Amino acid sequence: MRALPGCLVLCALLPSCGSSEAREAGSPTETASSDPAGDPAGDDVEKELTIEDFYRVDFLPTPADVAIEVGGMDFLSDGRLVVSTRRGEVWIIENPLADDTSRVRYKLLADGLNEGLGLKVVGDVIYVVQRTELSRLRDTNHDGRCDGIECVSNDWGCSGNYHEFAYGLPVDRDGNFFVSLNLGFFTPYWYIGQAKARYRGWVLKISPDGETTPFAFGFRSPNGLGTDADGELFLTDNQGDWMPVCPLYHVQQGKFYGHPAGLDSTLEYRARGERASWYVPPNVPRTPPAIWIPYGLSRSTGNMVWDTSRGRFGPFEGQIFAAEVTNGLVLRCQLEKVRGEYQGSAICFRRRVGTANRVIFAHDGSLFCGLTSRGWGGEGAAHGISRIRFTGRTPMEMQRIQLRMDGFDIHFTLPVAGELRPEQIQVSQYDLSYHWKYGSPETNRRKLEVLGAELLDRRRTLRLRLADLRQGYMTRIVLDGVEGLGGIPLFNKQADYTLNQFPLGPRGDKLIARVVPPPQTREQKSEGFVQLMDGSHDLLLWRGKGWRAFKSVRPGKKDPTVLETRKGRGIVANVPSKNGPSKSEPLRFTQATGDIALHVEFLLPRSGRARVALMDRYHVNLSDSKGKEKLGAKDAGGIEGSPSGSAPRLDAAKKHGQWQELDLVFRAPRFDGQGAKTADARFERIVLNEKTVQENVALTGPSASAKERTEIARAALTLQGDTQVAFRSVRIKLLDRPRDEAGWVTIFNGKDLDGWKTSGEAEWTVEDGILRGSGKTGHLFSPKSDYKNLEFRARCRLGYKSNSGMYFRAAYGPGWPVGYEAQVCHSYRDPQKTGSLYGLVKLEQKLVAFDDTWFEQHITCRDVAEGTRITIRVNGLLVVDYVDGSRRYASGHVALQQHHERSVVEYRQIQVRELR
Amino acid sequence: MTLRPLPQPLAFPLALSVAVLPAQDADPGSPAKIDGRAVYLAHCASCHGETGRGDGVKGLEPPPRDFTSGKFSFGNTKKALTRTVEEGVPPHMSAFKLELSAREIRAVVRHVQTLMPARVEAPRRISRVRVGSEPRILRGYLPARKGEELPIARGLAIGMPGGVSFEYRTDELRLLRVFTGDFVDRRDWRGRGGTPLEFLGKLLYADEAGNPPPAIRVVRETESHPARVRFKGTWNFDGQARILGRVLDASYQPIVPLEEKMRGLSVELPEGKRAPGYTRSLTFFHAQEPCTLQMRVASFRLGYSSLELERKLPEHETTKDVQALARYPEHFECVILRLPRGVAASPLLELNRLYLDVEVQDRFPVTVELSFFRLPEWSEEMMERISQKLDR
Repeated sequence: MRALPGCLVLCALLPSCGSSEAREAGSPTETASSDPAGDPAGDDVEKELTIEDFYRVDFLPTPADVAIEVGGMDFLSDGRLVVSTRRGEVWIIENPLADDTSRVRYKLLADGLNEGLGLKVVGDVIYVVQRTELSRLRDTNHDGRCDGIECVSNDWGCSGNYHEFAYGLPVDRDGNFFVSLNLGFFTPYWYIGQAKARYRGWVLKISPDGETTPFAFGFRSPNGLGTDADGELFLTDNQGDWMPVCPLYHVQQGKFYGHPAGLDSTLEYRARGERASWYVPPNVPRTPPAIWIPYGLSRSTGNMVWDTSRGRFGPFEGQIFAAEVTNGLVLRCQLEKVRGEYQGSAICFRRRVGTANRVIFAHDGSLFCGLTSRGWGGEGAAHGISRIRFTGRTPMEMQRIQLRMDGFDIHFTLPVAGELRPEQIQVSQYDLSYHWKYGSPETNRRKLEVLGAELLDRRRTLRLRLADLRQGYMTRIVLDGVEGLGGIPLFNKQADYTLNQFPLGPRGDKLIARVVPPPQTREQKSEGFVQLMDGSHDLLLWRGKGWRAFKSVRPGKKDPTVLETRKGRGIVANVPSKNGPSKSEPLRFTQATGDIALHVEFLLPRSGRARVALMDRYHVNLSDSKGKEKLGAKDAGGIEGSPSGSAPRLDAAKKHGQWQELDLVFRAPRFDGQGAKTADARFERIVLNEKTVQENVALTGPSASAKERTEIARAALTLQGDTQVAFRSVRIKLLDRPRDEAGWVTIFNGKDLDGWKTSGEAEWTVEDGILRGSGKTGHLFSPKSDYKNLEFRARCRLGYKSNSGMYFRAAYGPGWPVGYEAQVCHSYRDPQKTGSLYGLVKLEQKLVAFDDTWFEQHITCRDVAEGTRITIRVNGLLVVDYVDGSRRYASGHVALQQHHERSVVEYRQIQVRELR
Repeated sequence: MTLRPLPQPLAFPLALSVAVLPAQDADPGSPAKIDGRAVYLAHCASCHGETGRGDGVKGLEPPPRDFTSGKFSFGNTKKALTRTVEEGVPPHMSAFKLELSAREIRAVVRHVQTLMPARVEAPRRISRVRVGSEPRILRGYLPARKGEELPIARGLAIGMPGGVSFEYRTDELRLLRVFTGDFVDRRDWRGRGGTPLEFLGKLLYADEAGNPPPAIRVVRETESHPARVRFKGTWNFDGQARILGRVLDASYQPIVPLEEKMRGLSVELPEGKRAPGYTRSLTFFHAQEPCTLQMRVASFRLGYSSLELERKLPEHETTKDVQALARYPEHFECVILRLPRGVAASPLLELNRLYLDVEVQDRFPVTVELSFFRLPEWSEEMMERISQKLDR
């Protein structure tokens, strides 16, 4: 391989073509970067160049006691700058372009608005978007003060949540305004965006006379809007849930851009009364952004403007400059149309401009940055206005990046000086995760081999040939130590290109933000578990003197070896009451269990010692052993054996006074028909604070200090404290549930409701094998109407504040069915919770920890001599065993309930086994 | 020995006082001020570093927040920082709400704030809006009504010279409360914004608690239904604050534009004191077609009032006045409707609510005036004085 004169070839594939040969390939003039003759800037290169030599930043002074927290900016035809602020003020700024900033004057035009996060001047009339309306400002008596604020449109919802910002305010060619609406932040995690009012997460198009059209949706915090010369709308969003990093979208009517909450306002969802899940990725085609802006560059992007200064702002005509709040910079985006869609690259442009929320070009080609970061956080000046002005000296930058089938053409603003060595060019690809968690790391990173790097176009273009460049990945190009002609260093070395599509070849179908298995929510983690302490009825399922419920505990200030408590519920501790016993009994779960998975959270005082005793015999120690050098069986996570135990593998404990989590899987000993033991009790795994400390430890007998010495197949779990200790969120999963599948009949076929009968107004739909009840109150009755003795089980999932029930021996008819009902309700206000035999056995304990969690409810109903005996199991745990002496109901349907409007209930695996 | 928890009724007001005076201590049992730095060093420094630069000994990847940069993905306000400390940042930072006490969290948040660059919050002296010689009209969220979780999103605060202020919701065109005294603290100038306006004055009049039905109904021969309304804007000139709206029928067809003006008004009492009051003036412009609008113009506290309606006041050339008087144990509330002559506008008292049926016209605008006074005592002479005041 021979380099052509004037070109530089990097032959990374050929070892003989190393950097030394590449250097030789350069022509003498190209290596003369230090030759002053070729330096357009003359002697200046002797001193170290900074970005200030190319783009200067200055800050406009502001009046005393005034914080200009810029939400919108535009110019009047006479050159005055109009600024709307987050404090709901509109300022007119005179002489904004003055070199001498002391000539800048501020005049308050209007105040009292409900924020102004977007402003536009149309024919010298000022429009401002407030949180709840788009307004036109009027000054009818021309006294310089606004006297009328006319509502152009307020046709969008606002629930009153603090985070429901409204942004704007570009116009298209027909004079229509665009407004974007932030989602509100509620629960379960506070950063999860939700649409509690109409059109949150949407962009609206508003005609000059106020006609409002929902335009596009699926946004989260769409803080930046702008229209290009053709009136096409672009928008930046902020990273967070479903937004792996900040995107720059080309927004087209009717398209969905990724955040599920916006789906709630679509006609389809509204017609179905459906709400998008906050953690399950929606099955709706997403339009990818033109650019994903990497986290290092932007964390809260603002609006964008196009450079139409015809060179007065330097060599970036037609490119996008976008504001960035958190990092306090302006970034540059360069787009190209590939197969009809925009994609391109993001590069840092200028740092240290203040927390730029808005940018706008003035007619002299300077870029104004409107600053604000109150409550959001950001680097640099937190309010005010800065100006970026081009000094006239061309910087060395990656001016444009153009995708090719096998690499990129990188066009520079100046010819590249000197040589390029292979190690100066680093290219990698990565993707991002589309999920409910806040942001995404850069995943599946691959370093790309640079097969060739040629300098073309009189050294202004670097043509990179790359191995294995793939569609559907971000591509990061880092050029190190590159200089432009005249020794001008490349200030911004990194560019990230969003490779949505290649220009040719088959169209790729990968999105850079991949649908990944959603990170487990706490709901999913708790699937199959039964909650034994629910935060409000903590001791209902436990027995043991000396234990009480509290709101909070912590080691005492004076004596940290005991716990200080606050009255309330949610935590169980053996802190003695004034007249109570000083020593607590073991806290015993009311039922015997065998194989279980257990989750316990505990808190110890200093020098605290406690234990979890599986079957009251096999002890896992919980002790304040953090930082101990040599760990023994007595330390946290240790298993007390007989005679010796098993020390934890590592010191996973936390300091006393902190809540710690213990998760374990335990297998009970096995016995044959004669009572002889066939297998020892065994801890399959013990995980302390998410670190595995024990695996597969068998115990030949009960722990040395266990009172019970005889081994049996099932016994109750106990929690014990030698010292004071606090427990909460105790959950168990039964692992030895008998699997007797004979005779079960699946009565719901997973496809339709053929043969089922409904009463009431509930809507019952079937999708993906799941039966879903929503809408108003109603019931769904099985095809068969004369079940008598039966077992009835189903897997259920409830939405927030939902309520349902599983009826049996129920008569078909209007209203509440006449029959027995096993309650299905966790967070609805009805005090009878899941597992209750409605009206007959009331369980107030919340056995299923969270909504949106699948669980199984299993009912048996059989006539016996004393009456009708009914048992109910929740996730296998027997919670009701009741004999109805009056034999209320003899036979009937099995039926399901949709209790009330806004309740959502889902069922699957609905099965019945008839008993004789 | 263990410390006993504070009895709840005692603990709560103390906690409140701390919110106002941070220097004061919450817990009389432990008067020492918590050293936020100590809490920080114990719980935060291992990750965030001793000086808050995110360079703690744990050397986490990705690095934890560098407080000194001022960047906070989850907000840099006291409230936001408190929430972050309490709830954590899953999966990187664990929640501290159960490990640290509320006071410790407050202390550590104070400490973290000292590590940050200069703050950008609006101090109260700036955010407290004052009314000068001209009315002020502010838009903002209004405090949540009793039993509601969320604030009212579309609200107005109108402050009049002389110290009467009006709380008004624009999604229903409904006056909610009237205050006398200082105007409003724009609490939404702190934090991320979106906090309701805080009215600083003393409550003079309140529409019923909770959420009564919309204030305007359209009454036609065959139907009667709550009106839809559209807020059209505000004007503020010539010393008058005006709210513009439009009444629509059920299918969003406009019925009549309306304008409301309000002003504060007080009446002199015998000892030289003044009884506060206000006047609302509602004008219905040219209607598409004549019809009757039923407006709820006042409501009184249930159970207390013993209302009298109809006490007719002297008639004038152009108007007739109707007065309703409500007696409370501690004062009287007096509502005077000034109705145009020749226009069918009839008041109606139903339970604790005062309604006014106004026949809106297609040919000429109709203006009705409603005045409200809170009086320590009541006499014919007082009424005469009020009537004279209204004539002026």
